[in-house]
Parts: sequence; C-alpha cells; structure tokens
Amino acid sequence: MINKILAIAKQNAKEGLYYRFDLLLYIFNFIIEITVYVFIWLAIYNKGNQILGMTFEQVTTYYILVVSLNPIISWGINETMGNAIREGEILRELLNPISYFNYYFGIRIGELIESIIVGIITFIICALLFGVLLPSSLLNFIFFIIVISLSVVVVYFFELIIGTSAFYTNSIWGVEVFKRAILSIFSGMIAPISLFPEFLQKIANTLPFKDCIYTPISIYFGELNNIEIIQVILKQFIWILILYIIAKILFNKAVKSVTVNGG
Amino acid sequence: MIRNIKLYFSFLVASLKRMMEYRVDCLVGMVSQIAFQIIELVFIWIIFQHTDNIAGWNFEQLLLLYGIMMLSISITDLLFDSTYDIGKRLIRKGKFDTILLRPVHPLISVLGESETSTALGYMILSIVLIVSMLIKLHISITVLLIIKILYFGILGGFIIGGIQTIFSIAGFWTYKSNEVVWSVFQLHKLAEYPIEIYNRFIRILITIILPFAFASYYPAVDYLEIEQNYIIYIVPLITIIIWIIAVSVWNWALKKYRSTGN
Amino acid sequence: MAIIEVKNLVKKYKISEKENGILGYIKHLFHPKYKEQIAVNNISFNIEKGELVGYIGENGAGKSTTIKMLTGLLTPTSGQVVVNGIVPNEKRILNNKQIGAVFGQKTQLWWDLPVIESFKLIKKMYEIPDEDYKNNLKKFTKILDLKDLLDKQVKNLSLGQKMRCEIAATFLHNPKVVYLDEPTIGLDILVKENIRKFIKDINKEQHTTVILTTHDLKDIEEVCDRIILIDKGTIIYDGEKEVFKNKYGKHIIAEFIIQNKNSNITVETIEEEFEIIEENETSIKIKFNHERLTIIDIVKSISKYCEILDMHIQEEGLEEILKEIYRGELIND
Repeated sequence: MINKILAIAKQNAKEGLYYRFDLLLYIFNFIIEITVYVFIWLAIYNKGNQILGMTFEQVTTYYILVVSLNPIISWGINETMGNAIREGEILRELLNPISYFNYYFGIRIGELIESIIVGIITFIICALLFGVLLPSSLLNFIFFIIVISLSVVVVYFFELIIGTSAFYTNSIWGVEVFKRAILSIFSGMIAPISLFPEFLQKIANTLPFKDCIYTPISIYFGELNNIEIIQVILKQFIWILILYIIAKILFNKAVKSVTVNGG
Repeated sequence: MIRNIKLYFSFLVASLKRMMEYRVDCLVGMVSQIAFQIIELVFIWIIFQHTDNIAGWNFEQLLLLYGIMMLSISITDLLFDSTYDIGKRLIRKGKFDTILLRPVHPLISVLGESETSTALGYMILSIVLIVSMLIKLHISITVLLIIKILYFGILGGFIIGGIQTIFSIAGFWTYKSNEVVWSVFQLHKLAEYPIEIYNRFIRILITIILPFAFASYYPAVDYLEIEQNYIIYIVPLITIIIWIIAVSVWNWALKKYRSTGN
Repeated sequence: MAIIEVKNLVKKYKISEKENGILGYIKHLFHPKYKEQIAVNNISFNIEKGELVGYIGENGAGKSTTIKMLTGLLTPTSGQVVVNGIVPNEKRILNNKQIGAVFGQKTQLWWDLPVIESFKLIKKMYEIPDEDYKNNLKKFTKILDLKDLLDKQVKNLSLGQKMRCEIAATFLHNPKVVYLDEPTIGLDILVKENIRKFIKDINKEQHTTVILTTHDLKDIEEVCDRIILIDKGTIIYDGEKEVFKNKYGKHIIAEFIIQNKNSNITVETIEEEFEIIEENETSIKIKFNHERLTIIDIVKSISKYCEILDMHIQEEGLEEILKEIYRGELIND
C-alpha cells in the first residue's frame, strides 16, 4: 500500500516540478508577503518598541518560517479533488485498485515534495535578505519536523472534508477560500498567536490548526519543554483520528448519493 | 470605441447573469473574501495592540488607507478580473479562436468575461471602512469628498486593472499565466500601507514601475490633508498611460499569437 | 469575381527544440534553437460565391492551418488570401463581420447562459438589424428544431443540441462565407442530416459560401459540390464532387468472424470488384464495391468455404481512400 502511495506521489511531484516556472513565481509571491510584514514590523521596532518579549529578529524569523511553511500546510488536494468530482472523474478514481483516501494521500505527498522545495528555497532567500535565527537546538529542530509532518496529515483529512463539498456545489473555489481563511488565522499565519487577544487565542487553542504553524515555530524557538511537545504530538494523533472518522462518514455519504443518482 | 464600450458592458452583464447561476458559490465567495480581508484587519489590529502608530499613521488612518485600496481593488475585480487566467481558461482550450473571430477587439471580449463575486465583498468592506474611519477621524463627508473618493476609486481600479492586463499577455505563452498575473497583482499589498515604511527600492517599485500607490496612498494623503499634494492630479494621466501600454502590449501579443498559431 | 482568392499561400512554423533538464531549459532561454516546418506549401485556389466546398485531408495535412489563415486567425508566412475583397489578417474585425465559423467542439455560445441570451449578444456584436434577426431566428428555429432549446443553458444541452444551436449562431448574421470545421463530429445520424439540410437550405436561399472540413465523407457527399484535397501541405485534388465520389468512395469493408474454414477463399469465384484484405483461420476482411455487389452476395460466396459467426460492416472511410490515393492506386489525370 505504501508503495502504491509513493508511486502516485512520485508521479504527481514530477508533473508539478515540470512547471518550474510556477515554483519561482510562488517563491516570488512569498517574498512579497514577507516584505510587507518585515517592513511593517520594522517601522514599529524602529521606535524602540518591544513587543511581548519578541525581538525584531524573532518576529522576522517567525514570518519567514510562516511563509516557508505556508505551502506545506495550505497547498493541498482540494483543487484536484474538486475538479475530479465535478468532471465525473470520481467514478474512475473509485475504481482504482487503491482506496480513494490513499490515492489522494499519494497526490498530497506529491504536492508536499513540491511545497517543501518551494519552502526551503523561500527560506534560504529570505534568510539571506532579512536574516534569521537558527533553531534553538537540534532536538527541537527534530521535534519541529515531526510536528509539521503530523500537521500535514491533519490538514489532509481537513482537506478531504472540504473537498467532499464539491459533490454538492458546482465550484469548490468558495469553500476553498473559506478553508484558507480559517487556516491562516487560527494556525498563526497572520501573527504569533501569543499576540492575539484573549478570545481569539481561546478559539485557536480548541482548533487543531495552531499546531500546524504556531506550535512548531515555538518549538523552533525553544519555547516549549519536552513534555509539552509530547502532549502536542499526542493531541495531533487524536485530531487525526477524529478528522479521519468525520471525513470517512461524509465521503461515504456523498459517494452513495453519486452512485444512486448516477452522477 | 463607443461600440466597443457598449459591447463590453453587454458581455459584462452576461457574465453577471452567469454568476447568478451559481448563487451559493457566489455568496460563499463574497463572504470568504470579506473573511480574508478581516484576517488582514485583524493583523493590523493586533499590531496596534502593541503600538500607537506606524510611520506616523494611526490605526484609523491606516484603516482608511486600507479601505481606499479595497475600493480600487473591488473596481479592478469587477471590471478586469478575467484577464488573469486567459492562458488556462481560453488559450489552452482553444476557446480564444472563437473570441478572435468575433467582430470586436479580443481584449473587449476577454475583459467582458469578468465575473467575480469577490468584488462585492471588497466593495462592501471598503465602504464600511472608509465611512467609519472618516467619521472617526472627524473628516466631514461632503459631496465633493464622496465624488473624489468614487473618482479616485474608479481610476485606481483602472490602474490596477491596467497593470494586470499588461501582464496577462503571459497567457499567450504559458498556460499558467494566472500565476504571473497573480504575482504582480499581489504587489498591491505593498500599497495597502503607507509608503514611508519602505526603503527606496520598494517606493520606486510601487510608485513608478508599477504605480499601485496611486490607487491608495496618494488619494488617502489627499483626503487626510496630511500635506498639500499635487501628485494626485496626475492620477488620470497615469491611468491613461497604463491603458495605452496595456492595449499596445495586447495588440503586439495578438500579432505574435497569430503568426505562430497555437 | 471569386469570393475567396488564395494565391501561393505558405505557412511555415518554427518549432523550438528544447533540451531536457533544467540546464537545457536555461540554455534554450538564451540560445533558442528552432526547426522549420512547412504546414502549407504554396497552395492556390479560387472559390466563387455560393459554392459549397469540402476541404479534406488527413490530420496534419494542413487543413486547419489553411482554415485558420482564411479566417485571419493565423498570419501567412507568404502568399495572399482575399475574402470578399478583404485581407483577413489585416482587417480582422471587418472580416469577422462577414464570416461565420464553427470549430469542432469549441463553442461560441456562452456556456452558462440560456441559448437565446447568446443569440442576443451575437445580435449586438454583429449589429444584426431587428428584422433580419427576427426572420433568421424564426427560420432557424424551425429548420433546426430549436424551439425547446432556446431557454436552456448551453451546458445542459447534449452534443447534438449544442451543435444545432452553434450552427444557428454561426448563420445568424447572414455571413457571406462560413467555415465549418468538423461540424458533425460525434453526432448521431439524425442530427447530422438535420445540419446538412440546414446548410444546403441556407446556401440555396442566401448564396452563402461554405467551406467544410470533415472526416465524414457523407457530409461531403450530401452537402458539397466541390472538393479540395490537401496532403502534406499541397493540394492534390481540386474538382467536382461527383468525380471524386465515383472514383474514390465506392467501397465497403466487411469483416467476418469465421470458423471451420475448409479451404482458402478464392477471388475468382466472384467478380473482380472484390478484394481480400486480411485472411486467417478465424477472420476475414473483405473490401468490395457496393455499387456492384451486395453484402448478401459476399455472405453467400464466403459461406461456401466456412461458417460465419459474426460480421461487422463499415464504409470505406476517408482515411482508406486517402491511403489508396497516396499508394498511387487512384491517381487519375
């Protein structure tokens, strides 16, 4: 099964990397995004402000990490899946000798390869342009990687839930934007969650997305101790299970309606 | 010319009708767009929890600037949105040939296909922001000011739309032109904030090379009466120049396209 | 005076030769290498007003390149195209007003709108006078049976329904010249006949010149008076349909699934209008002239030699005929 998933991933990554030009543009976009953030924060720090104990270097590093992690977390299968459902490809995909969830996980992994490349290049360029802080320790860096890897699985099941809506609406685009909106606030992409007002922090704490961006970066900075990190990882496993069950139920229901109505 | 403009609006109406076919998507798109912008506003708000001004601009002033940019963007979205993915949507599928066979300039046909629910989201948000910030800043809302805001909002929309149209010709060579145009469009984000915060390179980029700042910053400075500025009088000129470039570039690309085929 | 004049028309394409890998890509960026390919090689013909011309050839023969140049979509490398006094790629908009075109499956209708809305937009675009629009709409609705389709969205139409609307849209502004590129591809026989009849009717009434490219010989047989055959960028036949039809399109290919073959099937048992293309223990493929023989004759004569289990009959396609032409079997004058 894992071989099959990897084969699909490889194929998908190849197709994606064929458009190298695109990847350059993504990187360009990310750099613009960072530029805006960096200059705004610079304007604030120039006046000698110290914001909640974060130095300017930390804030810069935070945003560079956000933008580098962004493609890894927020790109996904939704467009591919939505198009496939709308154009009736779904019936062929259901006949694949591999389960639908595994098939798309392969595609997701394929995109992950692309997004990791984009993320790393973005990180390097921005590090050179703006300067970054290195991880606090090797162990923390390893934890950082583990938590992000699990996050990909978490968002994958979230994407499946979102993607299932393509069975009911003609274009998945609206739902997709909605997904991104939720992700970017509650994962800490817009700003460190510690700077959020109380009630937003509370919402962020109950959702699984905080552990996709904010938590790994905190680990990177060495702000979490090992016990806290283990707790985070356990929490992620629980979320994976919950989202998997929801995705399975919704998907089976949707497929049933398709096979009954004949598409 | 008049005929082209009339046809453009006929096409646009057709696009709007088409949009109404997908009411749910439309609504979701609009709400999401508002949600997206609110994210940015949340960001600004969070910043102002920790400072009282950015480069001399206070919270209300900054939001006014933001709202002005939104107004311009909403016009761009409403009128010129369709240029951004011609590679994927039209040229790759060969649909562009049918557009070339119409007795209208292809750019009119393409622009007329704009259909965007996000425009409405931007517009609602921008109006709310502009009006509430003007009140908060104790700037009296006179008829003249309203006319000014609408006038510069529309011009701003045309400036950004023109920039987008220039880069949309990438679609004749790459099917993934949407990414090119999107990248350029994203630069408008730089002009959502006062240009004082940037270094010289970025200032030149958003005032001279890609004059996004004329769709937000300069009108805002004028409304806020921060300083006497005459720059605002060249906004129409800039708009016209941009569109002359856009149309020429398009004609050039069409000529190339016709000599190489698809 | 001819309505379409084509003189020494040439189209060469530059094909970029890219090397593989990212290095090759970068190399190409700075040192692009091109190979030249001639798609249309010095063709000339005149078409008179009101002619119905079948423009045929294999895929890649230069058909669509020619059509694209005639419509002004493509600029010729050299040579001249004049359509009703206008050079299409110079006065594009003016030319577009006087022509109509259907390109296979690419629709000119607005996908998500009711058909009638598209017609209204076309009316505005071509500035069709109210009177003409009303008359045409009425007439087309009747011939093409559009009554129930006009209020439907294009995306909800079947292929055949869509093509009927497409054809109507193309003729709505009374074009002088109409280019139809594979208008019947994938359609069922009734729709095909409907469309053919429509083209003929309008041609008779309006003297619309029609250039038709198709893979379906039947389209040509029923609609066209004249045939232009293009191969490898040059015209190899230009003449009356009757001549073409009689010479090239009279065979049928029948494939039989057989068993218990007792001996080799021999040709001389029947007339010479009969040819065995393929033969083995379980199947036999026969080409015969359907003007001289019927399928019953063939079945009778084969069943002497074996037991017939199943059979499959197809008309000799354009491709077969073209192959024969290329083999030199059918070249006349």
